[in-house]
Amino acid sequence: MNRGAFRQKERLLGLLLILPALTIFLTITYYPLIFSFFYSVTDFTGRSLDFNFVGLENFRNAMNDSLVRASIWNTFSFALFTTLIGNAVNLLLALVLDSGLRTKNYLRTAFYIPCLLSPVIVSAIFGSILQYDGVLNTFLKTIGLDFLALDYFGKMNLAMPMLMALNIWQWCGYGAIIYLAGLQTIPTEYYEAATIDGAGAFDKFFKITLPLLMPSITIVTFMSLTGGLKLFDLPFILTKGGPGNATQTIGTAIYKIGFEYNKMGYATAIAVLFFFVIAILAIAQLRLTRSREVEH
Amino acid sequence: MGKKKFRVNPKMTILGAIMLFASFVSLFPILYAILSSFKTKVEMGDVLALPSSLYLENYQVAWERSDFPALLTNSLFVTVLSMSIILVIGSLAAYPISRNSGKLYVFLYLFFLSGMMVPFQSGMIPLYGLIRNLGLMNTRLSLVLVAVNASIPITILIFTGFIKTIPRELEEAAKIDGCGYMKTLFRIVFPLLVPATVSVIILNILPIWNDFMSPLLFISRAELRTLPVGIYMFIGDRSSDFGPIFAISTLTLIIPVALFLSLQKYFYKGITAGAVKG
Repeated sequence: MNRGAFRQKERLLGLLLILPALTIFLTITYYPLIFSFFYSVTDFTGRSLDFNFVGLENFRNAMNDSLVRASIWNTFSFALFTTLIGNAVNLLLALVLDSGLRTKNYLRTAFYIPCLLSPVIVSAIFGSILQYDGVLNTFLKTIGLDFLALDYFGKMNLAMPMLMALNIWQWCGYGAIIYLAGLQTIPTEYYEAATIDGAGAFDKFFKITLPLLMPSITIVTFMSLTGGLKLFDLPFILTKGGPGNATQTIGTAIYKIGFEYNKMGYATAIAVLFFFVIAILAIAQLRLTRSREVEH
Repeated sequence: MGKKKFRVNPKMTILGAIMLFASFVSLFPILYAILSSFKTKVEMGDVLALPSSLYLENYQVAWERSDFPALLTNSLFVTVLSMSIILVIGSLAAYPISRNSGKLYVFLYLFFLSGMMVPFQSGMIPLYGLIRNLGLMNTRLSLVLVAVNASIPITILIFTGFIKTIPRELEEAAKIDGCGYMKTLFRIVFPLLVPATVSVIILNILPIWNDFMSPLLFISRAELRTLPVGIYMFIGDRSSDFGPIFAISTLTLIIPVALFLSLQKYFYKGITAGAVKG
């Protein structure tokens, strides 16, 4: 066999190896996504196979739908706050773990364990702890802090912040592990040199640690932002979107409109908007944080 | 632990104490669930008290009424099968992608990674129709398909990144010795992939094990449910009878926690491998 034919055979074999993964990926990810674009301009109900084209009506309706508007607002605020506060908490925890405490290994384990729990278990446990007469409020009343004992999932303006707090609690150990690995790649010589030059702890953090940690910040922010925008399980199980629409997210709204109201065409219009929002925000975020990464 | 003397540093002592308290707060919900699972109905009324004895009836109710053995079997089936498939098709696809620099391969790589940005709900409704048309409603295979698909992007990312660090000389030497493409792949490349395989397992296992959305959509027969939806239904049936709820929560959470405690080192390595630049 000559060299050219040999190369060609290898090329063909290579493409053949990619085929199984590609087939599943196209079938389960992109085929449904493309059909979502198609259904989004129809009044498809899912109950019958008949549907009419309605142009952009679904998109216009979505803009005036109080459920959709609430869910968009909730989703954005959840993603924003859990990303910003979560990042700060993760980084702080990583700095503490890196500070030479003798309990480091125990602490790392203790803060990591919550992220192993499924959202169903988290909901079950916190559904009890945060009840009005649950263990938290009973404890607060026992120590005389009655004014802090609130109806956490009963109040419109409290339910979403509680879900944010649960999310930050659950994932802080995970983010901290990634930051910890990032911190350990920074050569100690940089800090030694800075000390000789008379830099304080504040300067060292902002001029050395933070810029060199940018690759870790990129990845933690990406996971937190996309994860936050996709939020579904926790509000679906724990608060059922309520009270009112206070914890409806884009994910739960699509499910509710599609499978409970049987307006599948309308639901896919929201799903299409959802896809663009995540793609645009994720790409913008990657560009922004990547551009701040420095070589060392 | 040797004769190393630690200087008493007041700052570090205070920080240590604060962190000890913080770690207690972090673990409290889990400890509370475990302790409460041993409480009788009467004891459950006093939320601050500890259980007076090792009351096990909650566990009996949880085990029998939820059909726990079936839920566990289904979850294990879906997780093990999905993981086996993803390891095979992921490593097969990653090899040509990482060993070719042509535009097609760069495109395919980025195309696979783009899956990370596509939210499940964006294609959920047509996917529901597709699963129905394929006759996969109420089959565990539907869960496997969705799990494999969801794992593809990160798996290709990890394997491709890892194969690129393996020197090509090994494969070239094998070729000179007369090994074909496939033989080189199986004899030379695959045995070197063990560390990457561990990362792929660690990164994918929990999302598959905890998946709630696809069984919610595709499984309506109780005997085919996996743990998350099975427990969700179990909880829905007994809104404020928390004893059995805590018992089933404990039964379910000890599985990943035990796995994590025995393989901690691999977990930390696995998730940081997932954080390398893509």
